[in-house]
Amino acid sequence: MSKKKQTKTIQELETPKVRMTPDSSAVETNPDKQYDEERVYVQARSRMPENQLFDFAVYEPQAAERTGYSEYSYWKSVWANFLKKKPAVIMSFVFVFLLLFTFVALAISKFDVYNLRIDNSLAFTAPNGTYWFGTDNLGRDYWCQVWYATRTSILLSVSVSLGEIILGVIIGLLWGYVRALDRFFTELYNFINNIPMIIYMTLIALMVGKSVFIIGVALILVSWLGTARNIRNLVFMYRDREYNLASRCLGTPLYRVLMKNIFPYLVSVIVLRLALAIPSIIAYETTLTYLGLMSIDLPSLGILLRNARSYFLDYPYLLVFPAAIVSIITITFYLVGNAFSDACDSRNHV
Amino acid sequence: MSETVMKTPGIDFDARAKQILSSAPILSATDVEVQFTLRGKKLNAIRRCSLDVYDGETLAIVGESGSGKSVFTKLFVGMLDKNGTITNGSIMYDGKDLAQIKDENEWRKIRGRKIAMVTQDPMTSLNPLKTIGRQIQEAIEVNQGLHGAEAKKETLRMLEAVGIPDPERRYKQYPHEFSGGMRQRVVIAIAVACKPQILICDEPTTALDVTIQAQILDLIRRLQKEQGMTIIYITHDLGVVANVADRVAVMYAGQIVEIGMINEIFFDARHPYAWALLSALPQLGVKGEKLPAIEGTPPNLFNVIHGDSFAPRNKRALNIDFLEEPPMFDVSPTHQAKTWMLDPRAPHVEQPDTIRRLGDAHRNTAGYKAQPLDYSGREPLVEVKNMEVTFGTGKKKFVAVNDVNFTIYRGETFSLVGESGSGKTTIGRAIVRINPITNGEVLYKGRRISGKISRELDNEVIRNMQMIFQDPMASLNERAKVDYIIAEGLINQHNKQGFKQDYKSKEELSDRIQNALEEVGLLPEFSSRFPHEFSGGQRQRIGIARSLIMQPEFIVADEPISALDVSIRAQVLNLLNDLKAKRGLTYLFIAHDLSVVRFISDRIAVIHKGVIVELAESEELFHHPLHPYTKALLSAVPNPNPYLERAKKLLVYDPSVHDYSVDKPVWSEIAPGHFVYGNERELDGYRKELNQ
Amino acid sequence: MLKYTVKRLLQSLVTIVLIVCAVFILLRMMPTEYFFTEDELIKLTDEQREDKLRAAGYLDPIYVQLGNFFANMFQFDIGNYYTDADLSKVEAYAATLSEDNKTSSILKTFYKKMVSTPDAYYGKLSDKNRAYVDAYLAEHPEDTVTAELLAAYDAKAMTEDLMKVVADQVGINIFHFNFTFYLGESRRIAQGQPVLDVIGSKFGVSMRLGLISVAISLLVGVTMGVFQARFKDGLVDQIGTAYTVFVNAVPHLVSYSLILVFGSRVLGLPQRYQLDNVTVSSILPVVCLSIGSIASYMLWIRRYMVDELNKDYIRLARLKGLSTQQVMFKHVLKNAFVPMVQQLPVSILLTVGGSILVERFFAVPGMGPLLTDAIGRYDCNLVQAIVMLYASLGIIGLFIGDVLMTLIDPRIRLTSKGGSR
Repeated sequence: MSKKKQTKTIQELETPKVRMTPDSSAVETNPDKQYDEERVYVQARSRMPENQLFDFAVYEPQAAERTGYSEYSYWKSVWANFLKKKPAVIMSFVFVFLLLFTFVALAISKFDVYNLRIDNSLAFTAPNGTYWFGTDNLGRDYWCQVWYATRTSILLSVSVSLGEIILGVIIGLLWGYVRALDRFFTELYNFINNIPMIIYMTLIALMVGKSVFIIGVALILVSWLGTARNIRNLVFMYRDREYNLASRCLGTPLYRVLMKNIFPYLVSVIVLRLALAIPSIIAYETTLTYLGLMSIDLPSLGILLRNARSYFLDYPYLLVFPAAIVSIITITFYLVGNAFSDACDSRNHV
Repeated sequence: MSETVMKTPGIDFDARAKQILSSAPILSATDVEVQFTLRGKKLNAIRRCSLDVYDGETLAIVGESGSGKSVFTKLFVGMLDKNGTITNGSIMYDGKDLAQIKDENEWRKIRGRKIAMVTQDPMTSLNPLKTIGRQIQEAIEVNQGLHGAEAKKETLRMLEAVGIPDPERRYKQYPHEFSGGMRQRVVIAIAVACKPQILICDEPTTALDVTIQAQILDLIRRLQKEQGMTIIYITHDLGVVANVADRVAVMYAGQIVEIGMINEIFFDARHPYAWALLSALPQLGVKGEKLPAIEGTPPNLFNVIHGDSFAPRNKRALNIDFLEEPPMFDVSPTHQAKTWMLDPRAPHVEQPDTIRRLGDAHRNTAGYKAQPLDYSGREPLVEVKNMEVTFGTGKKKFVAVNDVNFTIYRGETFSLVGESGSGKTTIGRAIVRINPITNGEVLYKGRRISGKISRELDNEVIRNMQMIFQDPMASLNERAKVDYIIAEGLINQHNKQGFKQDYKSKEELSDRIQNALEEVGLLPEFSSRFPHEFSGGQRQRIGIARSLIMQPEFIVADEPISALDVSIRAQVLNLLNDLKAKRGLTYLFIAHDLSVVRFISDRIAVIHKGVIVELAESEELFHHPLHPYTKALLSAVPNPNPYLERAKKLLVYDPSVHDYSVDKPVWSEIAPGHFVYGNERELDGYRKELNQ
Repeated sequence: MLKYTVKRLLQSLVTIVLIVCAVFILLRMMPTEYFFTEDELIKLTDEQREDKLRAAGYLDPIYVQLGNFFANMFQFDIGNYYTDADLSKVEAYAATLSEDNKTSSILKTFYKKMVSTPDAYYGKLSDKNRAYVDAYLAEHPEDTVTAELLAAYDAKAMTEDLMKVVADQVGINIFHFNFTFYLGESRRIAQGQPVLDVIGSKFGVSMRLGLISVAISLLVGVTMGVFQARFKDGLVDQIGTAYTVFVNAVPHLVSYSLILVFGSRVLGLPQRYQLDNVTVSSILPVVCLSIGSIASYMLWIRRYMVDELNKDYIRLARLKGLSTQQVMFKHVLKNAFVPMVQQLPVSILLTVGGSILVERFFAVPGMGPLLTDAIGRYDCNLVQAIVMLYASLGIIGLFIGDVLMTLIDPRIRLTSKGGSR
């Protein structure tokens, strides 16, 4: 035993110790950040003289600290998971293409959407070389109407959804975190929520007007409730978690608690709600237009669908084009929203 | 083997070993490998693991979280998670290879009626919408083929057998009407009702209080005797192992690194990891000395592990440990260990001293005389006076803390010990002003800090009083980087003061963050990462750094180690002790585990249902417990020495022994520094007991 | 339980009153042009319009209008008076007084008029008939009641006391307490009809369609959802998911249009609801009503079941040796129904209440379009009645949902803490 120990000391003097642990500097100096552990290991094994095998190795506390380190990154995982949902990814590409195409379509069209001539002799022309999507009941080119309407609808739904979400999130955060406000907002919510939405919309349409802007604002004012309620319930979930108690102990002010401790946890829900709000706003737009509670001078998809109602049994193309486009948009957002929220759920990071 | 142990009379483990090994194994796993697919990567959860299970034995599989102990036993009942596959090996049972069974119906012939399992969390393991009776009866109907009245009779018998009084009434009740311990009895009844040959108990007592834990272990032991079952325990708690096991298998990083009879593992372990695990027990610690902690964390199983998986954390690792995986060496016919230490070429390394201490872990209590404590010259830092905290109002009013009084002096570690729901955490949170108090007051350096206080005082409290939280997974903001988490308090102060008091520049701030990280033994490079990249122990140290950066003088540590693995606990306890010595900190240490508290604290208060029943200097409390609740709590403390653990006598606390109808109880100091809660008659009895 | 119910209902009542007030005020803020028909707008002068509005009470201060509204809503009728039923008993009594047919019929009229409308009757008894009465009295001196009545007739002073005397004689009780709930009349949708009648007739149509659709969608939706959860990630599940995505994402107007094209072009079903061909023309509206709720039932049942499947107690159930089938039906399904059961009544009641879009689309004479029409034509009474109806449906639905929850889930007890809606 003592003999062995002596030999060891002599060897220590003669040959420098071989590093056995993965050498982190090798990672740092390697420009590709490619670190072939297997190769390092094989090299180390072959460099090790047999007689040193049973000597004590250098103990590196830092290496011990690194052993459990996982390379898991939340947002990277979210992204990777999202990319796995093929339908959502494909639909997003289709949507982007569609959005860009609305501009191209209007530019290459043979007619100017702002100056469409009414010509009853041309009414219900089936799609052909001149009228790519045919004409409507008044003989106007359907192609530029459809694409213009697409743009209007996207613009309207995106801006209304954004407004709704921003308002809803701000109120929801306060509602959930500030205990004193809870009662007030809850009562308000119950009150507003018990009156059918259509009453508000009808009243607003009759009282204030039916223009896009007014109806847009009205939709925001009515629909923030759902988002706020949802956010509030989530804030309730996070509010008394230990890390928030820690922030209270450290004297962190309210706005920073909301922004740093709570808001980042709500991103997935907010994105989901935003993505789902877009189809529902488009649906509202079509419904309201159909019921005559909203009127827009220039075509939206809702108006086209309403106008088509009386004729599409005989001229199906009047329905098919706007319906197809509307479906692509709404399905895209629906899929993307759900895919993203699934991807955010860390239980799915498998 | 240590001398003290050999002399301890009582259980003859060698005879038990002969008895167990006389027959062939009933279940035999060979070279099992399990891989999980996680985030597109392969995780090697079980790496060539072999195990024989013998008829009638109690086998304990010990390991930390992530060691694969749970995954391994799930294979025996075919309940592997969907993303896992058995990639190699066989599990022979009853002439069949369980590793090859794919068909659910095939599994049903084994699951339950041959191999049953008691799951970990009794609170979620029962269907909330079905009566207890129905749930047990289901198992009886499926596995014993009984029906109707017969099945019900058998169910009632089972309820009785697992110690549930008044079975007729209980039969019709729903799970939410049962306490945690009672629910675990029901889960056991379900498992046992299947009349299995092998019963796997997956951490059956982890979610329960110590006093309940001991009762459940007794119950399982009794049922085993009655039905002649083989039991496999999965646990991280060496106290449980010492209590129940015939044989012990130690798992680390998906492998069994050592297996042997219980006395061989506890007194004659050979693997450095087994040593480290045993030495890190706070019960074996000597006050004022560092616990022999295991540095670092268990390896990441996504990586291919070369050599001995424990090598990077082993201070006495050999070169070969990093290069070649050791084989299983035989120590005795019943004892094998997987370490190069046993190779004839390896240098001799002595067993650590601490393991020898196991022999006398329960030091003799006779003859201890309390040192009269002199607190006259010490400054009271925090005083709690008549504190009362209630939640809810009206019928739902619940008194969480009832008229609590104590003083914490500067420089001491004051521990508050109680079971779950006793109100201990509420007191801690009330002191740091997270929870408001209903009545009474909290003084800090003689000034009242409860209720409404001035902004200056509030700020002073924030600077000087901090809290360390229980669950490192919940106490860090997952979406913020480590540097923000640590600096949060400083940034607040910086902004609040309106001038650069705490740091002058960004550089200075990051310097202070780096220092804080180093102080808790973490690497500076961690500051730009997110908490989810770290293990539990590392996260807990980040939490400590967050409190420390404020340079407080008083810290409330709310169960800071109860959520951590055994090997990590010692790290954190050492760190807390170091900081106390270095910075002169004062701690309020909240815990449910008396054994931990003894090692770390100067004084201990025992709390039961919102009332502090006893308070004394820590050795005094261990040697002369007076209140029956303290006695019950102490009797249930798990002892890592199997001989002593099995010899211990369990006391059960029955609150009805107190007759407070006439004579009201008071909080009284019956010896210098020793407070007890009781009425005059009881206090007289306590005084007599103390003077004997 | 009773205490809880009473408390909940009182709370709901307060909510409904508040809602009615809000809608009332909102309606009064609408421009008054909507009060008039297009013809009136052209023909009437400003003053004439003003007069009309004033006559209808629309120019009073809003709180007066609101007060009148509530005062008219509840009509109490307390006191001594004869109802129609009472009168016929009086007639029957009077007819028995004399054997002579002629006298008997005269007395019948006399009694009836005296107890119901004496003021209008004084002096209306012809001399010839009077002679019969006198003759009768002479013959029956013991009948003091008739004598007193005749005296009162002569003195033109019928009193309440005398009415009671008659009542006692006849053996009836004429003290009545009557409470009527009256929401006024429709002004323009159905001129002069009480709004409750208007709603009643429309509601019948909506309810019939709604009930059929609820039955269909529960059956199909729940079955599909269970299958999806049972064979998760299988073909059925994927088809089901595709269906829910399509229905939830695409605007209903589009899917209804597609159904209409398919239904009428391929299957030859009627495009619009026809009163003379109800059964066949109801098919398309019912289908349209159902597609949405089928999708949501599928989605929820599937989600709740999958949630339950991941719970610990399912693991224990499997460990007991239960088969997948047993676990699914004995454990998962019932537990998955708990969250479902709470929402079910609301969604059923609101489906029964009719859908604006579907009913417009197929020209169904139901509740749906009534609301917008009523608002557009300033038919305030009707609007308020409809709003109250919808709000009550919602509130009752929630209440039923909560009660059902307590029946199915033993952990939940009704306390007065719950639901503030």
